[in-house]
Amino acid sequence: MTDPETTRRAWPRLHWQREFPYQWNADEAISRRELLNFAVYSSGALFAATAVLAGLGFIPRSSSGPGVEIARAADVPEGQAVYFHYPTSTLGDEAMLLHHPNGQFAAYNQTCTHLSCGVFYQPDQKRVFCPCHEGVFNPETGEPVAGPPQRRLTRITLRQQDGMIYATGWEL
Amino acid sequence: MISSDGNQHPIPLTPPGQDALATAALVIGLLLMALQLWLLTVALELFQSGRGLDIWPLALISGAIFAGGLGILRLLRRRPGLRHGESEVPLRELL
Repeated sequence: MTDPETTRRAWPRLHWQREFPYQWNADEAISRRELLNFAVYSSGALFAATAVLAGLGFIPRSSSGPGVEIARAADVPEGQAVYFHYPTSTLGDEAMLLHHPNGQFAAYNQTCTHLSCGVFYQPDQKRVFCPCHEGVFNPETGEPVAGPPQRRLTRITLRQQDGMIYATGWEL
Repeated sequence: MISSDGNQHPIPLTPPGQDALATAALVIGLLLMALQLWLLTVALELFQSGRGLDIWPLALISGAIFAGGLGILRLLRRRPGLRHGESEVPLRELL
């Protein structure tokens, strides 16, 4: 039989081990094995959440909404913007129709993708600007180009018919 | 543990080498889990920005980590265990 003193010298116990003398094989509260089980189950949950997002990612996220009349194309000069609401007239549905110098139209929801402040068009600087944190978006694509925003603006799809511009839906 | 001479002897600690190995394996597993959590946040960011088609590689990596964890659990359950008091501490009891 091993002498206790020899054992003590071979594996000197730390202070906490003397005060809490439970060994790994006698500990019934939680073992490393149980912790490993818990970690693997948690890992499965994280994988499942990521897989669900991956699955949802294959579903197109453009939505068709009610056709809403915005303005006559001739009434929006090039390089100017018209502000409207879409799809409803409630708070948070503010939107803007931009008439680019190249003649193209684009419309975006005015909610900044950083912290939901209102963005507006600055034609002289050719940018969409968020004054709260100085976020800047490309007016032609809606992509963020400066400041804290990381996601592009929600784009509103347009339809032009008989000189009138209609909002017909939106896409993320 | 009480010996034949009536004295109470301390139960030997896990041999230091094996103990460190098991703890290292556990810590690596937890770090990989933290990586999975980060992958999930990246996936959520991509999803919200409308780039959902870019998420599947992240799901593959996360799934590979999960599969590795399942493999380790399966390996531990298959290893024959030794009884307490024998000279070698089996991995399944070490963990």
